[in-house]
This record gives sequence, structure tokens and C-alpha cells, in this order.
Amino acid sequence: MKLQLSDLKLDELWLRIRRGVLYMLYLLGFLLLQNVVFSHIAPLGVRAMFMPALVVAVALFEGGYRGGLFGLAAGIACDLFLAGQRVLFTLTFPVMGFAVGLLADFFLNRRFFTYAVFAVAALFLSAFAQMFSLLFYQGQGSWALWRTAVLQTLWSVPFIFPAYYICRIFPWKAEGAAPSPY
Amino acid sequence: MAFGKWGSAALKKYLKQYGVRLAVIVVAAALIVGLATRTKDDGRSGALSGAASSLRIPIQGAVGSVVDWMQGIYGYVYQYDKLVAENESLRQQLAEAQRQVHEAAEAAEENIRLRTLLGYLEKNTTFVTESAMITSWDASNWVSAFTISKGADNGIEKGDCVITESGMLVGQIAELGNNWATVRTVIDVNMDAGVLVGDSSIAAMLVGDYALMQEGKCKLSYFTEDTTLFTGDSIVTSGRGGAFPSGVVVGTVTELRSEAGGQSFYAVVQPAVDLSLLSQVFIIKDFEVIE
Repeated sequence: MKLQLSDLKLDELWLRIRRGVLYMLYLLGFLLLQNVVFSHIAPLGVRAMFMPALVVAVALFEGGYRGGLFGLAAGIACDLFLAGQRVLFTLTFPVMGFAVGLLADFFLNRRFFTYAVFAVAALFLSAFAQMFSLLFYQGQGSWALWRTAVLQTLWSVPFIFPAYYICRIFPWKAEGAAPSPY
Repeated sequence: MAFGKWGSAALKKYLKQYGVRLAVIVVAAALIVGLATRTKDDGRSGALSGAASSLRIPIQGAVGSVVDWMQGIYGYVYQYDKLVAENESLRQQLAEAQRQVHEAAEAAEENIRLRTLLGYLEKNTTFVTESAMITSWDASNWVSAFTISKGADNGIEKGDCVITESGMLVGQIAELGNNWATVRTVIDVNMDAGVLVGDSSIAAMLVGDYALMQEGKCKLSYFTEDTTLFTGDSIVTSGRGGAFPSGVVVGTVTELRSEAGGQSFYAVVQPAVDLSLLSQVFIIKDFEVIE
């Protein structure tokens, strides 16, 4: 039997590859920006950590499953590039991505305000996850930890704008093809 | 939006279809990442950490070069505007002279560091050291660490003591690859070392503290109740435990504070090393343990 991919399947495959490559570049671009460029800029001794905002943006537009997968990729990358944790983001980012994607598929609109609320929440949750073991297991001073978590969230907020608008201009978004669970 | 029976069924279907599949993938990935980044018995990091560092270090190096290049361009444009009234040959000579001066200054600085180290090593003949350049500082807000350009291939081991050319404690090797290593600095929250304080050599522990880490300081603790400490007391490593050689300069006591309960007190230590000025460090690969 001779197997042959139809033109339709090839088109679909090509679109998937293109989508995957674009998201990979989106992830790598912001990862380098965060870990190489903005790691040198630390107002009040705290650096920005904006990768969770990307996970929320992708989840909002792509839904729970793809948002979770993007979260997994972003989480692995963050865990490998940042010292002090092994699988913290590998576990937390996919959960964030899936939760936001699920809400977006059923309840939420995909406007910036909705995104901003969830992105800020995700930024703060990530900071909290990072300080969790220092706070509860190592008994470190809580004031300094909360201060860092709040400042890390604040410094990361400006990056939610490019994260959202870059994700929104990806070509399949322009076609209005919002994913649906139905 | 009304979320009736139909919506509930759709949500269940959604969770079953995507949630379970994603959970399996995430758990499998977390296990793989966890195992692949686990530190081996010989202190070397796992394959995935090694691969990530192999990717990260050249990228950070390349970005650093681009930043240097852009700074160079900025400097050149600035000078061009300034010297446009002067002739072309003088401008080129000036640029060349500046480049040579910059190179000479860098060489002179390194020469001074190596000479200082030589003097330090003459006093500590049992030390076997390896020099390394700092390639990048960690971007995390929760640790104080940096990556150096040497690793297990150069005989470095996990836990090795890291000092400056003049013998000031910088930190300790925390993670290791073939050609890179991560150094946990003296102010890091996970740092601990046995030290001796002041002229009477009171034994104490130097431990990391998150709040002090942000001030560039660390904590001196675990001394007896009748201990008398003074600000300005110098602190050196005790050498007990075998991780650090004895006599490495750590810093000075700058302040005495009471713990939250007020029952005990601790001292704030200002490290002797200025971490922000570091560009090159020296790893003590071997030394004679003095009991």
C-alpha cells in the first residue's frame, strides 16, 4: 500500500511547524532578554522575571492544552537557566498555562485587560513559588522575601505589553481562529 | 455566561481530553528533567544541566561581545563628533593608542592580580589553585551565584573554596560541569562555613541570610552565650570540616543584632571581597588540612 499525505495534511503540517517555530522564537527571545540583558538591571537589587506572562499570553490565545505545553517548555528553559531550583517551573508553568487556557476556552475573553489581570497574578505566583522554600523550609526573614517577590512582580509588569501584543499578531490570530473545546 | 448541564459536560470532556494528557506529559517531563539535572556522585551536574550550560555560556558570551561592540560603536561615534575638526590620521592614531592603552590596562590589572596571588601562594605553599574568569552572574533574585569558565576538566571539584588573588573568600563551588562551574558566593543564602572571630579566635559559623544577602552581607551565628564580639573584629575561616583551608579572610563584624525572639544575638558580617568588582577568581583545588 502506498501512503501519501494529502495536500491538506501537508498544509496543516506546515502551519503547525510554522506555529511551533514562531512560539519557540517567541520563548527564546524573551528568555534571552530576561536572563542575559535584564539580568544586569536590578533596581533596588531585584531583577524582572517575566516568563510567566508569556505562558499566560499563549494559554489565552491557544487554549489549555497548548498553553500547558508552552508552559512546560518555558518551565524547563527557566529551570535550566536559573540557579536555585530544579523542577519548580517545569511543574508550575504548565499548571498556570492549562488553568488560564481552560478559563479562556470557557469563560474569558481574550482582551488585554483580562490578560493583564491573569499575567500579573501569574507573575506574583511565580515569585511566591520561588520564595516558598526559603520562607517555609529555610526560615528566612519574611519581610525581605515578600519585598523581593513584590518588586520582582512590579519590574516584570511592563513586559506583559510586548508579551501580549507579540503573541496576538501571530498570523493565525489575525484570522480570528480562536480555539474552541466544542 | 450560563454554565448549565451542557457546559459542565463540556468541561468534563475538556479536562478528560486535555487535562489528563497534559498531566501525564508534565509529570514525565518533570521526572526526566529532575533526573537529568541531578548531581552525580563525583559532583558533576547531570547531562541536561551540562547541555543547558554549554548552550547558555556561549550565548551569554556572544551577547556580552555584542554589548561591548555597541559600547565601542557609541564611543567611536562620540569621538568622531569631537575630533571631526582634526585630521584623519590623528584620529586613527588616537583610536589605536586608546585600544592599546585599554589592552595594556587590562593586562596590567591581570598582572597585578597574578602577582598578588603569587605573594599569597608563597605564604600558603600547600594551596593548589586554578584561575578562572567569571562568565555570567545568575539572573535569579533568590540566590547569589555566578558561573566561571573552568570546570571538572581542570580538576575543580564540588565544594572547592573560591578566593580572590589576595586570599579573600569569594564562595564555594556549588555545581560543576566539564568546562564550567557555578560558584555560590559568601553571601548566598545556602552558604555556611566554620570561622574564627577576632584576636581570641572565637569559633562561630558563617551562614547565609536572605535579608542580609540583599545588603551584600552575611550572618555570624552559633557562638556561645558568653562570647564577646566587637564591631571591626576580623573573621577568617577555621579550616574545620575540610571544606575551606584555615586562615582565608572572610570579612569583618559590622553590627551586632538580636534574633527575633531577643534571646540570642548574631553579628552582621561585611565580606572583605567586593563581589561587584570581581572579574577573575581563583579556586583552591587542594590544600593541606591542619587539624
